[in-house]
Amino acid sequence: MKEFKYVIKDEQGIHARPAGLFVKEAAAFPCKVIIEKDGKEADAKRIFAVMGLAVKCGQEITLKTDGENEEEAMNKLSAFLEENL
Amino acid sequence: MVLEGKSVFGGIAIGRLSIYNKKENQVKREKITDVEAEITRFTDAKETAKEQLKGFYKKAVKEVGEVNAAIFEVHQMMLDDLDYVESITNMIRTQEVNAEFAVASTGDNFSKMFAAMDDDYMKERAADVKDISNRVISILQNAENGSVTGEEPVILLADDLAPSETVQLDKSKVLSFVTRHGSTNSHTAILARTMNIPALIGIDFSEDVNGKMGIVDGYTGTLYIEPDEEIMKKYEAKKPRMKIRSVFYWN
Repeated sequence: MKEFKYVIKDEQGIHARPAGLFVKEAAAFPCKVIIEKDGKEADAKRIFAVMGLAVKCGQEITLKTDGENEEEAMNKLSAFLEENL
Repeated sequence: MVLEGKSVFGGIAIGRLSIYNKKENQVKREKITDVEAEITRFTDAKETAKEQLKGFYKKAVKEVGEVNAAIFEVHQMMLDDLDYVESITNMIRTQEVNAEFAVASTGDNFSKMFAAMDDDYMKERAADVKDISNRVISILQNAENGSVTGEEPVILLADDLAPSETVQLDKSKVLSFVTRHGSTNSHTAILARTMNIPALIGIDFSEDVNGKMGIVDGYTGTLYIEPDEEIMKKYEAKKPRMKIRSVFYWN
């Protein structure tokens, strides 16, 4: 399993549009993709679950990838976070 | 009568007031026998809804730009969300209910989750869930969506307008947008700015104003209902100096 901690910089937090784009990217990988905030985990391939975390600007999340292609998924998804959120 | 609100875009509009008829979906709980057929009905309706949303996206890109049109892509993803879909299919399977009822109940549950969040932005997302659920229900029921009726361009009044509602409007029939709720960043507000027409929010109108004459002053945030001759004259006099949209100019 790979882990990556990231503090959200986007003013609106993980709002609908980037959440949607992120879910789309995550869904392309076969491994499990999880976003964790304050001990609460969400399946990053499910848009309602990701939005349900209500991640705001300045909050820290942990991105986890586990399983097939976990390294490639982590590289791509962590880069997405840094570029978009 | 004079109502004060907040302007989201300047300009003057003179014309008849028309309250947007929202289509309320009446959903009844019905017992079904063929579970698999009902799930197929739901899946087909969901695919049709996604097709509609693809069309809205293309239209909205032209009207409000790519960033603001993205909501329609998000709506398509919401329709494919596994939690949402599983909740609906599980309800059909275990409770043997019709697809309409399963979609309405699931939509309610998910929108309550957003409405309960301690975040204004996320609270607004409750409307998205309702919007996508109503779309699927309308398709299942072969129902029409809300619309502007009549030939004459109007000052359109609404509680609030969902992006999917504004994108479907015949824009040549709208002189101005006036809503009770909504924000300066709403789809309607952005659309008004793109269309270059006055728009007000926070106007608490009553239902009996429908069909009456009105003036929207997008500079002061004021809506005049059945303005007297003096006010009418004042705004008519402004015509040469200000951009005024009225039925008289549209014909």
